[in-house]
Amino acid sequence: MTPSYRSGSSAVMPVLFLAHGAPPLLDDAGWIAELAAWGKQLPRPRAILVVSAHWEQRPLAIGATRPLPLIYDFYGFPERFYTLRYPAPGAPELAQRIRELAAAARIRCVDEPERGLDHGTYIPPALHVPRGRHPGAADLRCPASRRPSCSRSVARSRRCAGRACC
Amino acid sequence: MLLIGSGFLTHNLRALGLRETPAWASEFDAWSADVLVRRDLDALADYRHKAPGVRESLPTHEHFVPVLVSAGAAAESAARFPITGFWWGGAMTRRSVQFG
Repeated sequence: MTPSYRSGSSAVMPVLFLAHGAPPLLDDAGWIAELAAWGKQLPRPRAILVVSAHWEQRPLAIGATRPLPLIYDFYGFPERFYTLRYPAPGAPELAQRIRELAAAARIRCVDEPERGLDHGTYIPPALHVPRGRHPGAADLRCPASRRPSCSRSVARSRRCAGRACC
Repeated sequence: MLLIGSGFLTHNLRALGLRETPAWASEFDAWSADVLVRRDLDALADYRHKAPGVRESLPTHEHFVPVLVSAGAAAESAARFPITGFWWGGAMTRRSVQFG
């Protein structure tokens, strides 16, 4: 059966905000245990859409919708930090759904297909997703304005993401 | 589909070396938790004006943006915090949120 991101199944899926940690926390057994306990309580999704903190340019961008090498965007750590793998398949149907929703809301949205998942996306799930059971992955890169007021682009991003998960 | 906003509520890399949680971090963290539990999205979106300790907690804002997206996407779902506290007893909050 072709997976659909329009069905009602995602209505029961919670929405998360995750303090995504940093590479040294791969050695933090307490945090890893907390992530694992939390992950066990969650329903298994078909796909994960991560809203990235590591993308400040406009416009809204969809990335990593197909499998790409991970980005080890940190320096000076032991070798084991650079051998971590997170072999998630892409989620092209989810990406297409986001494009449709953004277009309907007149939010400019582009693809960034060449930039892989970075530490904010793969470190937490890599620590507790069972081997071979990775959901599809994509990430949504929201612009962060430096202007003092909450930016219009952020509000627009909120609406876009809110609709994407309906 | 599982939507995950991935970031930090407090993200001041100059304060990484702190081993005592400063008031600005604990107050900002507590304020964030309060508005999330109350589902006060207007206050959350106006965090730059309303939150205590915002200048020190977020010298830049990109790590906070994902919580705006998650909270907005979660509509009326109740918020709870499966992970709390501060890393290394310092200024980086470990607080993570589950809506619904």
